[in-house]
Amino acid sequence: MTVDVGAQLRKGVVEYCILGLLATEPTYGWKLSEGLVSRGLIASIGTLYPILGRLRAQGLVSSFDQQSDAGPSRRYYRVTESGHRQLAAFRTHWGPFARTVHELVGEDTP
Amino acid sequence: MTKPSIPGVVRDYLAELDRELAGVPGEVRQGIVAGIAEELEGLDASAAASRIESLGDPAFIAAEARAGVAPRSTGPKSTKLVVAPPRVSEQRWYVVVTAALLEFGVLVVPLAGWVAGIMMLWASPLWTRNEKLIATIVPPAVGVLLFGILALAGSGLAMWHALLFGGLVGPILASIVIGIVLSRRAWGRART
Repeated sequence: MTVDVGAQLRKGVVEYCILGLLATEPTYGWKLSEGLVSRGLIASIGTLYPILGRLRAQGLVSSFDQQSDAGPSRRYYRVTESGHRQLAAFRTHWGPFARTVHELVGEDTP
Repeated sequence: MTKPSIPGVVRDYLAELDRELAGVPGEVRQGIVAGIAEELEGLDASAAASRIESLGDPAFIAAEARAGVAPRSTGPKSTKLVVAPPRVSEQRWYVVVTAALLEFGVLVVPLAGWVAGIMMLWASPLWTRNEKLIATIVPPAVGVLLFGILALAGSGLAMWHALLFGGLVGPILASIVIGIVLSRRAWGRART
């Protein structure tokens, strides 16, 4: 049986990728979804909202409504102080972790 | 002023999406529908159809949403982000001590103080390999460079004073600058 490795890896990091995107600038759902779908991190906008709900419930992300100049009012999401701390903690672990995995797994050779 | 009418393609899509999302928790269901509705608002039928095509089948979106909320049924703990407790070398006080040793360690215990700072630097995951290499190589390199320049410039007792001054002060100043830069970089990565 072949395990979907990509899906398992995405599950472990997608929350932090969302925090990382939102840490750059507050963003509305559609734009956030496009950024994640285009990078292959989520399958559709349907994947995004349950994760956003969990991040909000944990106090890592908050939302606010903002009227755009030309378009409709949108719900924006931003990282909270607690979310920034969580992201910083993840960054600390990610570099050494990725290096260790790379050392152990190596690169694909023909 | 009346609001522009919603194209039928948008109305039908949102209605179908809402139907497909039946059973998904209210907050998630409303978030998805509202997030898509606000993006489609104000578009004409042709532009809206194009956006809808890029979104995909409502049934697929709903299935993804259902799969995403499923872990909640096993309890909130299963979905909580868990980060291991910080190691000593990841904490902010460690950053302060390391930076202080890099900057002033050599004045307290000649050479050994700075070496202790370098060892602490390499023992911590807060700095990148390049940052560690710069902190290790640059101060001695500055010292050797200054020494070489001043040695070539002339000779005599006064010149040897200048060599001593340049060879010591140069590396210390380089270490202070590097210590400040590295502590600022690590501060955000460190855990309290």
